[in-house]
Amino acid sequence: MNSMERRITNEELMKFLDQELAPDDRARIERELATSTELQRDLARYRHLRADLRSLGADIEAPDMWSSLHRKLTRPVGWLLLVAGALLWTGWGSWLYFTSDEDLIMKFAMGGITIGFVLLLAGTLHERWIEWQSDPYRDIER
Amino acid sequence: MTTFEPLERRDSNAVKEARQGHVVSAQITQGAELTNEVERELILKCRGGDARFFEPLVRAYEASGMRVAMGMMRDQDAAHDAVQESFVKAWKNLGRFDMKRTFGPWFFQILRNQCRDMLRSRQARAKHVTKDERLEERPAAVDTGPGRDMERTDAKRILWEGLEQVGDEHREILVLKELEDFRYNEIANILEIPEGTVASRLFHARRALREALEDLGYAGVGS
Repeated sequence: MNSMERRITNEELMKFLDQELAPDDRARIERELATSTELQRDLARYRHLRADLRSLGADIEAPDMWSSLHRKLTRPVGWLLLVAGALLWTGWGSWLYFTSDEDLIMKFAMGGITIGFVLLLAGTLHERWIEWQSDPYRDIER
Repeated sequence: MTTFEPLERRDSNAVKEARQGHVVSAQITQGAELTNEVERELILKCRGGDARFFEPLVRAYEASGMRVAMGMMRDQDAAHDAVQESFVKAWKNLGRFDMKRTFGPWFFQILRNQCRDMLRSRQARAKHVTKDERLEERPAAVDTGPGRDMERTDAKRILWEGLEQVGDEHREILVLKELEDFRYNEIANILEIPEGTVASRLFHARRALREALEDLGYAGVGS
């Protein structure tokens, strides 16, 4: 006997099982249930399955993740302060140096070294980032 | 004269405890239920940037988050990473959180998307991991002793295998309903589907699992 013949749709059976039906509909299904052994058997199977699945959930350990999470949440603030401080410090230092009475050639040399260093660092970091993103083994622990 | 004092008096205990800095493990226990009102208060405080107020939310949802992620990811370490990353994303996006909603379904929506992303990237990268290896990553059953307990453990292994066979779409709805007992409207919210389709999807998922378990010769976990 299929669900059409038994006058209860599969969706209604699910809603009955999950207690999502309005009282009138629930009463109607209960009346159908009282007369259909097939329906009773189906319902019992689903209830057993639910109980078994719940027992899986009981085995799953829930780790305490707050301390590591707290570090993750507050770390960006630390980085932000560090980077902002470093930029301010470097900017101020550069301003003092380039507006000082130092020889112009020395200023060009120092500027070249600084810009070259920043470009090399940025290029290396960019390459590492691209490499990391496409690394197929990045999640594999040694 | 600021409005700090009256607001202070209206704070719930969880919020007060968070402010005092001793919320923490002693006051807010894992899995403790927070009312919607308390959650909203905590979220408002979190938006001010104080991470201490996020702790009661983490404690309230980490256990259920872990069960959902474990059900979807089938791997303890990956599930842990998914839950943690979802909390980080939730924290970063609290400013965009609609205060008319409840935190739980919103968080589980983030978690579900996180699990999906991680599964996709894992499937693309780690095709060499065999089914047997994945089964070994299941959490060990809490049962002890030989005989009947061993049968129970085997039954659970088969149950996991059945869940694995039904596919991601069926598995996620089964996990949300059967492991966490979410209401249909919450499931619809988390999976971003119309509420009217939840019952139908649940039916297909349950039938698929039943058939998969029958094929695997599943006899039930038993009592």
